[in-house]
Amino acid sequence: MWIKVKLYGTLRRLASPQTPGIWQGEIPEGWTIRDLLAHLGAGRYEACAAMINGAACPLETEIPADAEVVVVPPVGGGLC
Amino acid sequence: MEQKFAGFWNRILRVDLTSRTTQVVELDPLLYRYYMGGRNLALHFLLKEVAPDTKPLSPQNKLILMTSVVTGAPISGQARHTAAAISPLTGGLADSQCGGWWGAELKFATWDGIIIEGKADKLVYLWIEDEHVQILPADDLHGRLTHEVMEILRNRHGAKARTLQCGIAGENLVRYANITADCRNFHGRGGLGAVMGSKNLRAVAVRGTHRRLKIADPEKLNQIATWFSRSVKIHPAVSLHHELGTSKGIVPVSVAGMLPTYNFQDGSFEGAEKIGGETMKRELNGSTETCYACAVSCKRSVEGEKGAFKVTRNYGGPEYESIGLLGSNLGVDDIYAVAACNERCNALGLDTISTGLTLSWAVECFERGLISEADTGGLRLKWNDPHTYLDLIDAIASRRGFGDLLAEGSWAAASKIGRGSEKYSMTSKGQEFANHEPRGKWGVALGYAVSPTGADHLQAAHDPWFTNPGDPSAEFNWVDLTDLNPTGILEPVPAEDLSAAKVRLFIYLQYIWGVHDVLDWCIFTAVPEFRAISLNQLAEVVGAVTGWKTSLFEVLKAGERGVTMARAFNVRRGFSADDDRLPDRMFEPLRGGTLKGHCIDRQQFERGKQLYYAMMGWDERGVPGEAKLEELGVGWVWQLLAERSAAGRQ
Repeated sequence: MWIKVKLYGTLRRLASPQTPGIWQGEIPEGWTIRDLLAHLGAGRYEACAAMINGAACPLETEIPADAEVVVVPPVGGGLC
Repeated sequence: MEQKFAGFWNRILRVDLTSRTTQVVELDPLLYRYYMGGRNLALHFLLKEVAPDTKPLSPQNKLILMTSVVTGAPISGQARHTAAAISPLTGGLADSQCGGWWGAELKFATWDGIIIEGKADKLVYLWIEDEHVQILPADDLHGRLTHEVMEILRNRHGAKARTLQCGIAGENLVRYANITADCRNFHGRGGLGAVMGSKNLRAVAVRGTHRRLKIADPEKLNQIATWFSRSVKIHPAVSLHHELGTSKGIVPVSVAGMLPTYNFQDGSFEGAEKIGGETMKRELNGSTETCYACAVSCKRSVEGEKGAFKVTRNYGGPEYESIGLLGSNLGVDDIYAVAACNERCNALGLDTISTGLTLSWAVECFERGLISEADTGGLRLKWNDPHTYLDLIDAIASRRGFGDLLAEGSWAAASKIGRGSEKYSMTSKGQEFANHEPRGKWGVALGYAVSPTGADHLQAAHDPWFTNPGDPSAEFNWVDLTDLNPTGILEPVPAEDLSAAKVRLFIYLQYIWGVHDVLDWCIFTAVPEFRAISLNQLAEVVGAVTGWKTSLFEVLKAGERGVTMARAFNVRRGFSADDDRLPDRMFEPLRGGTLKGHCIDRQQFERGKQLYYAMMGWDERGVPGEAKLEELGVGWVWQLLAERSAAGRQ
């Protein structure tokens, strides 16, 4: 199924080169946000918070089809 | 002039504006090693020379400008300097570090710092050209925007002159007036611009030609600088910082639920993406600028125009703090409007942080019916109304109408208005919070409360970074605590926690942050979650520049020394544990956002505060003990506290 992921902070490096900060692609049904991050090559502790379609959710949440996912690293402020 | 000591000149300029005389101050060179510079050297003079009952805006207050032993060395991170005085906003210590080029230039002019005392009978400015110092009339600078003043001074003294100045807000004694270096970098907090204005001093312009400072081991320093330059280029966090600057934090912090929104009622902002760093880069023409000799180069300078909102590059561009507090905190979701408000504050010399939160206090109080058009001079206040905010920024700087009340800061304004409006002033010790919601990171809450300068986000690194153990074998740390391992911090601690483990973590981080304030070193290079160089390498930089056989232990002790000396300064001013407090809102659930319902546990907070005092070697009232001060090598400070205590008993 097709999803769009917005990546912030150091996670931006995992985005598609043509679309800075954004990764789009097919993933298998049943994947959680953690599964997706592992697939993209994120560090084990690199993500901290996420949203699916604008609503905050745990990283263990299963991703629905056509979702827009936002993932951010542990945040401090201007440093993150 | 020959530089006798590697790392410093042992020349501090004393300027008495009342008598219009200058003098060179020399110290026992050993004191440079004890203090290392910045905050510590400033506190040395403030504690010894300023009477504890001095009024902040009186001629008896002293404005101290100070560099450190590494300022001006050819390596990224050293380009900051300190300004300190009694704060007209809090009544306690104002201590602020500012980046740019001014600090290094002062050092190139053969000066380690300046002590400014007294008050000129008319507006003046200082012109420092190497060893030569002139106190010159500033009639033509009066009432001018900061960029105009900078241009006048550069036309007069050369394009390479570096300027430090208060703005119109400083001239008008606005209690959160800032001081700006070349209109791009700021001593933002504590009202240091008002102290400058109270002395009838508009600017300090400097040009130095001794640009090759004495370095004890240039080869070693070059080795670290080379490693550092490579690290800056390939470290993902630092390279992103170069691309977007601090503005990149807005959206992630909102997603995490810790972006101050509507005067700290919510922690996520629906318009965050519209004011975030990616949008700013896309919408406003921009480029990156740098401080002296820095490879990180993180300052986003922007320009653009949309309707009434015109943004020039005269003042750089808005940083994370300003975007949040003039943006989400006021419900403004237009990056042009935010940048225009930021520019107006900088042109007039106002701290964007205190300005944003004083405005949001007024808006929330108006919405709740606690203040009315009778108070505001007919203005109807509401969220997301940047045109009105621009008018009010002008009114604050000129102390006109309702702006005169707001120029006192939200706490003093609330105290004057009453009617329960104090509840909506998001302050500690009378200084407004920064752009960080403490209910999601309780170490920041402790930092806001115990900070000697009033609420301050730069007391320590923030909790979320230390919630995982990290991978010690990784070339670069991402966001974890492996960089803290050399200090003995080995286990992660939850963000919403004030247990003994968290207090210990906070204290070690406060020492590390304190080292940055002491060395006037930029946090965007060596702090644990972001480091392009490690803490041990920072100590090696100090050793390479000065020739001292130093260590991380000695450098951290200098940081601790500063934290406790700052505390002692405030104790002498009458502060106690009762002043280390937070607004009630912090103990009430967040209304909305990702962390909706989260709040700080008051019992844990109070217990954490007492643990902090005890671990610091302070008593239950937060007063540093004699043994601790002796252990830090500043036993003379205990004598000052004892004298104060004896005077109090009489």
